[in-house]
Amino acid sequence: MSDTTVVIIGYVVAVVLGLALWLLAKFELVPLSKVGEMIERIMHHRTTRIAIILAWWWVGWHFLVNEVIR
Amino acid sequence: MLAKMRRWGITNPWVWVFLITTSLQIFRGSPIDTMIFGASTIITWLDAAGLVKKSLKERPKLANNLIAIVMVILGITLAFLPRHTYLHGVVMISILPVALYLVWYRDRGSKEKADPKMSRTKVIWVALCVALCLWEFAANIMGQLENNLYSHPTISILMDPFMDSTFGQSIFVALWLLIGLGFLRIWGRK
Repeated sequence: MSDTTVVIIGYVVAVVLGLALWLLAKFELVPLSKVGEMIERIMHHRTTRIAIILAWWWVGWHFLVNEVIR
Repeated sequence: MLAKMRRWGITNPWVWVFLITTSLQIFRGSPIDTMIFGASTIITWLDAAGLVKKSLKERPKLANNLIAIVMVILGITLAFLPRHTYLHGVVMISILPVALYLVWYRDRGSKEKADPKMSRTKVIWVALCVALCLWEFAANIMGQLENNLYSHPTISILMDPFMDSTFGQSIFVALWLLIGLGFLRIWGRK
């Protein structure tokens, strides 16, 4: 198995785990809080809200405006 | 000593997250991203140190109709304009101050202690996000050392061909806007 494949499998595993966690919690199939409830809680403090919005904005900037560079 | 550091915002984890990310962007050789994360470090530190606390207002409220109209306009503009253009840059830059304004309001006091279910959920999500960031960072370092974009691809490299089509760009823009709306928590709030 090439290094490229291993790297891609890592991303796919992370995305699948994230989706599974979101759905399992949404339909209460695991003893975890729903993602919406968690976001509501973590956005309680202003500095966290600001930091998360800055990070979210950068993702949009990175994919839509920035050229892909190393 | 610790109380003094806390008062000056130095113990806030977000300040460190942005500071470390800024140094990674310097290593990556991306001046614009270095400026963005450098500015983010300063912004989060200013807030964590309480230096912009005095003029804070109550949480802003927006009508759902207005939110829907803005989302549609942004969605169409960002999805159908070609990427990597000045126009896209202007639209993106204009989004940032509005989004920051919508979250930069007075806190409602201290947070209640999390129940075990919530604590468990947060630990699992933080672990997943940190693991993904480290994996991406490792791919970036390996790619730089080998001077090859594709031997250890980053998420950007993998997504770029998909984003080059209008379909891919539209899907990304829709998801990005909806996630942002979720973080802003402004929909349906009276």
